[in-house]
Amino acid sequence: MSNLIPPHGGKGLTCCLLEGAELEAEKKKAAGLKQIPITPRAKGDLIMMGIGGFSPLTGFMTKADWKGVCDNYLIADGTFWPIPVTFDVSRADADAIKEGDEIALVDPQTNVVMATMKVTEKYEMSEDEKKYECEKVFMGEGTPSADEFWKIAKDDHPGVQMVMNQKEFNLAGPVKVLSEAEYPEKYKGIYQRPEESRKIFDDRGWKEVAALQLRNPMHRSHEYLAKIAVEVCDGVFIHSLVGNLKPGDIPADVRVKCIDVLVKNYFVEDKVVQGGYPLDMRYAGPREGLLHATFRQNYGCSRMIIGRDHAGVGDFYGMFEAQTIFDKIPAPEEPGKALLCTPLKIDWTFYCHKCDGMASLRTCPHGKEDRVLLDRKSTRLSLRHHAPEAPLRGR
Amino acid sequence: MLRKLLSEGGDLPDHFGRDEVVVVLRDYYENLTDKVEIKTHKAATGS
Ligand SMILES: [Zn+2]
Repeated sequence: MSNLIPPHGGKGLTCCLLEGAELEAEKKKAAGLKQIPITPRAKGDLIMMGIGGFSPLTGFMTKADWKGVCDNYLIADGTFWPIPVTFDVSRADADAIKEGDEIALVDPQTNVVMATMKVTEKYEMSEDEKKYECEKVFMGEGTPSADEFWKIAKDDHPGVQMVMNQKEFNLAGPVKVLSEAEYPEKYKGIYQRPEESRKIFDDRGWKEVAALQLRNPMHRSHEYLAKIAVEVCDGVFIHSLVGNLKPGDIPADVRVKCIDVLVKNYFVEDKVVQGGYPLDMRYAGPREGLLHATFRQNYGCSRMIIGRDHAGVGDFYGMFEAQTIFDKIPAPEEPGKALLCTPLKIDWTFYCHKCDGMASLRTCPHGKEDRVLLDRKSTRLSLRHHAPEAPLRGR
Repeated sequence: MLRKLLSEGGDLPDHFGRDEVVVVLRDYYENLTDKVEIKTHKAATGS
């Protein structure tokens, strides 16, 4: 019997990935279906639905789901979900597909059929509706009015660009996932399914597990956050983004090596598990922090470490907005429908010469001149958004 | 390494960290055959 937090949604891990004879039969069938190319974002979403990472989602969202998520963080059946998980197609493709049809979703980079989908709903997404989604999902304290937001979002917000560039229609319906793509081979030992991370935690007898989200090389602040988590939980799950990379991003294998040397040299090894997940960034700031907690619950984590500017995008969000959003989301009463994974909120951290170690605004009484900041941008933002509650001496 | 970086002043690298991590990163950068601008997505700032 597992002591771990149950998967989100109250239905266990809902895995859409087929295996064995069922998989072979579906692959054969898929060859005869209309082939629709997918984006890297949809590919990641499909794999997560395949392995139960997005439990309880088992398909792309209907219009009612989309609206509920945008407005109230709830899909149509009343279950908490923080970000739309939708699938867009061109008008030409939409015209050739009717509700009830089955289609094959193909990764255009590899020509691999990633999934089949039974289309239960086809709905147009007007420019105004896309804008509505952007304002609901991506607007934050950095640009509190729609006017301010749109002045810079179209050019500077990659999440907004992604949504505005979506094609004219969305298709909803359940999926059968046929592949985990390159992940099991390419990231052997790092890429895991939620059932695998849960087994590792169970084998160690863990109950409270904190997740540390990483997409950059692990630096001193991350190390500090992970160690705080180890102090208050049974263990920490260092979970790296291994999805689609952009030019200049440090490859996942290098980041994994950085974590390996850190864990080996500076952690009690059996208090740490390292893993990887197949998504790309959605650039949704605070809402992305919620998504991180939602799928970490499925991986078996009861706490999500949320530090300064979690999943931040430029100046769009307040430095601690990804923490406070957890206090504002609805908590449906029906069992399973509320998010159970709670944030482990950690203040702005830095190296302090006088403390002679890592510290945070809650623990270090010294001045700005004693503190080493990780980058200038964070300093500027921090002063702007956080100064009133946490005055810096010696400014 | 940390002290050296600090004593030299100027911009601290985004990924400043333990010596062992710096070695891994330096190794990666030195072996990059295809030189690209080393930074994460311009707009993404958080973890
Ligand atoms: Zn101090």
